[in-house]
Amino acid sequence: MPEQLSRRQMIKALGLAGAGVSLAASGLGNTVMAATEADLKPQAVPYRYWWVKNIDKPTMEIDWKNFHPFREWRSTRGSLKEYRGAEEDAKYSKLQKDNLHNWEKDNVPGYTTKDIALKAAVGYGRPDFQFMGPRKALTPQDRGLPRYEGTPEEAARIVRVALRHMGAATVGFVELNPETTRKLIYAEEPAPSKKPIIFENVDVGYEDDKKLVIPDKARWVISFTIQMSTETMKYGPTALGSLTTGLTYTRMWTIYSQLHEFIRGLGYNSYGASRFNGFGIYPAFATMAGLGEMSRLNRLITPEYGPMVRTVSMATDLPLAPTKPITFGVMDFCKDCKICAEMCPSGALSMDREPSWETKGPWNNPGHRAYFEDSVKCRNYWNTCGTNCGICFSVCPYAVDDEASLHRIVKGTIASTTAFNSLLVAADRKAFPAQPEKPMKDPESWWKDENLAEMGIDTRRGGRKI
Amino acid sequence: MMIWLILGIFIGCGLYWLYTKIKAGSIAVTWYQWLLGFGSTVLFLLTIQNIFAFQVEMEPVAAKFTMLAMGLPAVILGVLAYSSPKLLASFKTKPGEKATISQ
Repeated sequence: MPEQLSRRQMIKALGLAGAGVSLAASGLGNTVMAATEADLKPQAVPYRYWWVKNIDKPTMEIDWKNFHPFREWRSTRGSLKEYRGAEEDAKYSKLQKDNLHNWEKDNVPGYTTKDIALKAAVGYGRPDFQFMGPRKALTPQDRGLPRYEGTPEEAARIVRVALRHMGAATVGFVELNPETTRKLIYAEEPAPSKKPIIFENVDVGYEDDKKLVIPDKARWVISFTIQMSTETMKYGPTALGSLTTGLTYTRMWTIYSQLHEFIRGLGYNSYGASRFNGFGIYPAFATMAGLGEMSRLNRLITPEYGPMVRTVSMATDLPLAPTKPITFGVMDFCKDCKICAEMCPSGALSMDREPSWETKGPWNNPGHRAYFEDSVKCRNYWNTCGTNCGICFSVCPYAVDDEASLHRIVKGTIASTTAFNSLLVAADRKAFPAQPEKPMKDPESWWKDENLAEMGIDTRRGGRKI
Repeated sequence: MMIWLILGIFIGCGLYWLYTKIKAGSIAVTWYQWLLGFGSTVLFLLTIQNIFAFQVEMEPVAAKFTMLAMGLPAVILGVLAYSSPKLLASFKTKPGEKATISQ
């Protein structure tokens, strides 16, 4: 018969047993985790909120058989004059010029000389676009050394770390498949050259007078986002609001060139935009890479920053472990919300409850189910307000900072259930009131605050603050 | 961060006071008072965090909304936690009879 244990002995025994069980469980957990990670391809983007779920297909449905590479110059960026006619086009161009002149002269808040000056200033410093990057960095071969070798997982990690340090927000990777994801690369580069972008079985890609050639071996796409300032976007559609995108583009294209050089420095090649908005459909790549979900804006919404990002992509022959698409409830939330469409001054955004396979015009690319926008209406308003507007971004409930814990509670709730979506939409309208065609805040108040965040963003977000 | 230190000290002092009173037998706390009190404290802390955070985010309207949507329920729950035994006792008494709290 076992001897009776004292209370002290009993507690000690229980403690030891508990520690043993915990150690066994943690050991088993690590083993299972290691095995799962090794088998799981594509992988999850690391450092996410717990409510971001990895899925095999993006929440935006894609009919790959009827999805064809798009000609970028068919967007309103390249064919606006054709879509609205020469006479209308001239009328809108004049309207923009006159409005900007008059508003600056009349000191309209957000359009004053200081606003116009800052907007212009932050657009400077962007490097020239080059299909294969600046190609100035020495390669390992130039230094008499072998190129970098690592597993796709290790390569993905170092690219992610490098990009975060350069100033990117989130990073994901897509493996190119000729039947699917390769179709997200444009058929032709933007106007005026409109050169075809093609794949060839060559060792190194090239650009000549007639075409841009990506080698078949460049099978991986790096997709990353750059954080935009939620702070200044709230002043849209004024010039002060629109410098948000201006500054982000400057940072984005600088980082883009740096990434080209980083890949070159590792001993590999990369192929990207040869002009503004070149290469491919960036939000689609970001969606496939799990950086966010498509939305009623017909733009990307990320779990960390909402729509307050710009995104960009490039192909490389450096093997990279791809990342999985995600869901965090945005597509369902957009069905109930509609604030962007309601506040859009031009009525360009879809008010339909469900996304559609039907495009609104040749500026949209068919083959996916989306909230297609009337891009000509949008551009007409850009000319009217004299900027790139941004109201739809600023009023989005996801366009918020990350200080208040409520943001994470609300996002986690939306990701977990649709039951409270209507209630949360109503609460958002009360807490963050917006008025049609007006900035959410007084632009003059921004100029009085000398204690602003650097570049209007919190660079700790998306990583160590999660 | 200082605000959390101060709040932590206050809550710690409050809990210690409650503990000594319960131990001395001068206060009895029912299970639903614990529940209401816990809910009130959580909501109160969330309200404080969000009000300060919305100021940092330069969103004063959201801060006011939080005060109303979370701060008010926190106060209501706190009042209920404090006065629920009296309220329940008054429901149980007959008209004309004086309410007493059983401990």
